[in-house]
Amino acid sequence: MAHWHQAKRNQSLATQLLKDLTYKEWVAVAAFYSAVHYVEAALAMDPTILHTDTSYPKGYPGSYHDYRQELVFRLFPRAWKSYNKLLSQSKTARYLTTVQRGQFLATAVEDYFSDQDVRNFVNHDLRNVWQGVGFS
Amino acid sequence: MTHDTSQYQLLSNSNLETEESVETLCSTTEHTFWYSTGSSASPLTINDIQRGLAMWHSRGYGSRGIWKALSNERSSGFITLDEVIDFSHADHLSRFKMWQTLPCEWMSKPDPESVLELECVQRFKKLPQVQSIYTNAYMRRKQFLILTSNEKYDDQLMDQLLSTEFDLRTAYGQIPARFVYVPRLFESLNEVVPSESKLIYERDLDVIIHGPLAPSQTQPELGYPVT
Repeated sequence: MAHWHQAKRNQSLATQLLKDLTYKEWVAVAAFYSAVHYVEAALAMDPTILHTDTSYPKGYPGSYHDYRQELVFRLFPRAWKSYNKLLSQSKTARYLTTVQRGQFLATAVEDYFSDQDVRNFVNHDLRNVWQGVGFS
Repeated sequence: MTHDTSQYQLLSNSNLETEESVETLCSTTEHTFWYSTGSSASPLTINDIQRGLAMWHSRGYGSRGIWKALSNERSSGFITLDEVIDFSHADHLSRFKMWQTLPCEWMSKPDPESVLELECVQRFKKLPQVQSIYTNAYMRRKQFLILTSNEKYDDQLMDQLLSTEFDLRTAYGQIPARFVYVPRLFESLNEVVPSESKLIYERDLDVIIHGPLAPSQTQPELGYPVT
C-alpha cells in the first residue's frame, strides 16, 4: 500500500514537472521512482517475494537493481523495456554518467533530453510499467 | 575425393540459415564445421582453415567462434577441402558450405558465454548506431558495454537496443548478464571503457574482434554510483 501511494505521488510530481519543462532531468527521475514503486507494489502481492530487498537471494550475482530488473523480466515482461529505460535514463539524469565513475556527460543534462523525450518517459514508459505490472 | 554422406545428410536436413540450427549442429556433430554462405568467390584452403582454427583456439573459443571467425574473414567463397566437400551439390551451396576435419577437444560445443558474446555482436551490429561492443565482468555478471554514435538521448534507438537485449535475455537468460548503453558523450569513445574490458566488435573494421584491448586512458574502477 505504501509503495502504491508513493508511486502515485511520484507520478504526480513527474506530471507537474512536465507542465514546466525547466527541470527535464527531474521528470526522468520522478518517472523512474514512480515506476520502481509500482513494481514494488506489484511484487508485494506475491507472497514468495513481497519485496526486492527481502527476497534478494544470498550470493546473487548482481545488485538490487539487477535483481529487480530480473524479477520484472520474469514476472512482468510487458513492463520490462520501459522500466529498464527509466532506470538507465534516471541514472544519467541524476549522475550525468552512464557507466563509469569519473566520466560525465559533456553537455548540460537538460540539453541531453528533448522535451518530447521526457514527455514519453511519463506518458508512454511510466504508463507501460503501470499497465505491465497489472494495475491497468 | 571422399565424401561423408552421413554428415552431409545431417546438414542438409537442417535449416542452416537459422541460429538455432547452429546450436543443434554444435551439440550433435562435434567435429563438423560449416559456415554460411554467399556467392562463390575466392577459395578457402585447408591452410586458411587451419590458421583460423589455431588462431581461434589460442583465444579460447569453441567451434561457434571458429565459424564466426572464418565467415568474417572470408564471408564468401568455395571451401576447397578434398576429403569432404563435394561441389556437385550445387543447389545447397548458396545456403552453406561444410567440411569435416581435425577432431580435437576444442571442436566441442562452445561454452555458453562465448555463444552469448557472439550472439550479442551478431544482433547489436544490425543497428547502425552501434559502433563497438566491449565486455567485462561486473559484480559477477558478464557486462556488455554497447557504444553508440548518438550524442544526445535517442528514444527510438533506446527502444531498439532494449528490444535486442530483451531477445538476448529470453534466449540466454541462464547467463547472468547486464547491458550498458553508452552514447557518445565524450570526445573519445574509448575513454568510457574500463581498461580491463575486451573489445568484441568494432564497426569501423566490420569484424568480430578477439584479443587484447587497445590501451585505455580510463581509470580502472567502474560501475554505477550506488543509489
